[in-house]
Amino acid sequence: MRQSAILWADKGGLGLMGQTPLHQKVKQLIIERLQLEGMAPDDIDDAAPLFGDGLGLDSIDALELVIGIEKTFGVKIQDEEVGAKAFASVNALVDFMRSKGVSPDA
Amino acid sequence: MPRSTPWWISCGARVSARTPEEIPHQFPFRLVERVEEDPRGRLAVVLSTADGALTGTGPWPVTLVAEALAQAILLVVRPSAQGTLRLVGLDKVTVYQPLEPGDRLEVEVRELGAFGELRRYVCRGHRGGGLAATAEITVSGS
Repeated sequence: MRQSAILWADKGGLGLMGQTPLHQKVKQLIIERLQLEGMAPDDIDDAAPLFGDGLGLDSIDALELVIGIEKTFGVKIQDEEVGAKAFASVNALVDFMRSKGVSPDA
Repeated sequence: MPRSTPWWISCGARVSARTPEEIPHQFPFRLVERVEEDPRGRLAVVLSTADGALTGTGPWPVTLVAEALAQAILLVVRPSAQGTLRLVGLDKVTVYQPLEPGDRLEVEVRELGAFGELRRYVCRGHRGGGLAATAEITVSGS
């Protein structure tokens, strides 16, 4: 944990492997909202696509995430075009949320 | 938190003027028999007796209650002129009171979120001043 904090400071806010606390929270939200039993946040590749070949999510899952993200972080995903970019991967979703003012330390 | 949709969808005089025939289901599968005026502006529906055939048959199973709530929101959430709405999901269905044919249910509908053609609502039915049944209902279509 101590090493992680030092690396984070060295990299201007990014911790080990470029992860922020927000990455962990987003992955925890995905697991809880979609009831991905037996999966831990570290099992989700930050760069892998959430839909299709990656986690294999579908449109109902997307709606569940839209509702969960708005409820948890107050960030609204307005339409499918925005959603398609935001849901490209965990990294893309974190970038989208940071662009909406969510702190990486959230 | 900013929201583009009202917290509770208004169910004012415009809704109370609706008729059960606006629900696409046909007898005996239409589970709303009448739409009544409600002074608090809620949607007030009377659960179907199937022309009296179901009167006195006892409480409905949870599946029928959930279907009745899903049909009731079609009186609040309307498809576009040429569009149709299809039920694609029922979640968190809870029945707090036994509901029988002929019971009057006051219904509130709130949109939880939307993505593409999918929309999810929470529907809460009240009877006798208390909460009677709730469900999260997901529909697809425009």
